[in-house]
Amino acid sequence: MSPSARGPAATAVPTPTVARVMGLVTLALLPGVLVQVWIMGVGRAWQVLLAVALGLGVEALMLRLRGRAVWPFLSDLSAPVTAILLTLLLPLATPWWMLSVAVLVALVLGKHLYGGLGENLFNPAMVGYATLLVVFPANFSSSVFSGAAFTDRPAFTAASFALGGLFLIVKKIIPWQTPLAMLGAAVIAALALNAAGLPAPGLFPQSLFSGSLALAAFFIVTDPVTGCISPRGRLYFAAGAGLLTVTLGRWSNMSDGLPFAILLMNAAVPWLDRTTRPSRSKRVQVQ
Amino acid sequence: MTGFELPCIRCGDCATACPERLQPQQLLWDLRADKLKQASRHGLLDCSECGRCDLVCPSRIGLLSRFRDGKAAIEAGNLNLQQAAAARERFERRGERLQRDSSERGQREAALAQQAASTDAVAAAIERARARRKQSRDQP
Repeated sequence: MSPSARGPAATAVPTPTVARVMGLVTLALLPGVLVQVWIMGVGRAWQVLLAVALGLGVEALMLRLRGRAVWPFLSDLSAPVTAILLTLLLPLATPWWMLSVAVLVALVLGKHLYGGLGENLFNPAMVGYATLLVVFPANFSSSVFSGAAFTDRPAFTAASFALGGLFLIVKKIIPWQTPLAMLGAAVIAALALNAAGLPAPGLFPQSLFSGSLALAAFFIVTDPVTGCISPRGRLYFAAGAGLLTVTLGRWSNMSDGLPFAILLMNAAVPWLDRTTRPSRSKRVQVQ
Repeated sequence: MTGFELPCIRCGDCATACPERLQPQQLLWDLRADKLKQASRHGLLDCSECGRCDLVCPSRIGLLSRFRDGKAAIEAGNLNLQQAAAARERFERRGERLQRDSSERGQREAALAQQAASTDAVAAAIERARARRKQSRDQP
């Protein structure tokens, strides 16, 4: 008898599922979506719907092309989460085809070509966002830019994201330390820049209340797939993202340093994982 | 959707649940890559097979059964190593024994040859033969 034939572990309590996690994340994004629709108008709602519909379509197509079971993966709801996150970060003026390009890049290049759910090194939403920032900078350059970053009432947007984030913390979907580490590092970096006489217009204190930082702190750096696996690694990851977001915001030519900060930290994750592996008292080795 | 395994999303709930402070997700990656030594270095043999990682996994990954297989493979590998070590020792002992036997035999033959070749020995043998003849002549 092979050892695995001894049967599964005793099962008594219902296990959480990826679909439940992603469903709760979608629910937590709802206040942010509603506030943006309230501030920007109903056009935002259409953008979210387009992105989600296209996201589901692309996800199904890629699963089919990769020869995977479509329904179990489609129903894990990870594609709609990516699509909503992406849309919330883009300016309202973003044309539909540009939004579509971002969703395509995010899900095809950022996710499925890496092996799909769980295998992607980079946060798909950030891959899509960064691509638009680099390829279509004019879309983001107007003074009234943009999505979450510079709405008329950024504090409202940020508060709505924080509300959703707190809901996820209460539901134990995300740890409270990760958002705190990113926000804390961003505050410290902004204060340090101000103290050093290198303030950027709109960097502080506005940066704290910009929706994009709150969105990232609660919904982007808390992504388990593209973040670290150990609690200590997650702290470093989030703090690094906060620090880089502010410093890139100060010096980079892009109108938002966030996606590049996240992508750079994503690239550091395998190394962070190795160096922050929790120590164990006893170790047994193959002779 | 029972029984359908989704990919690991690296949530780390298994590591939080593990009473042995193992990182089940890391062990899973090690075992999927057939890196038994690495899994062992990451503490696979300390797994007490309590199955808590199975219970908390949102992707419903059968971690425990893989860990059992991995532990069995490592233990089988260790057994093979032990058997190989024992066989090697037997072989080396036999070599030493053969070496010793052949060198002893060589020494013995050399001694005999030397004896046969020495003039004293021939003289002694002639003396012995004379004594025997003399004895048989005198007795009857």
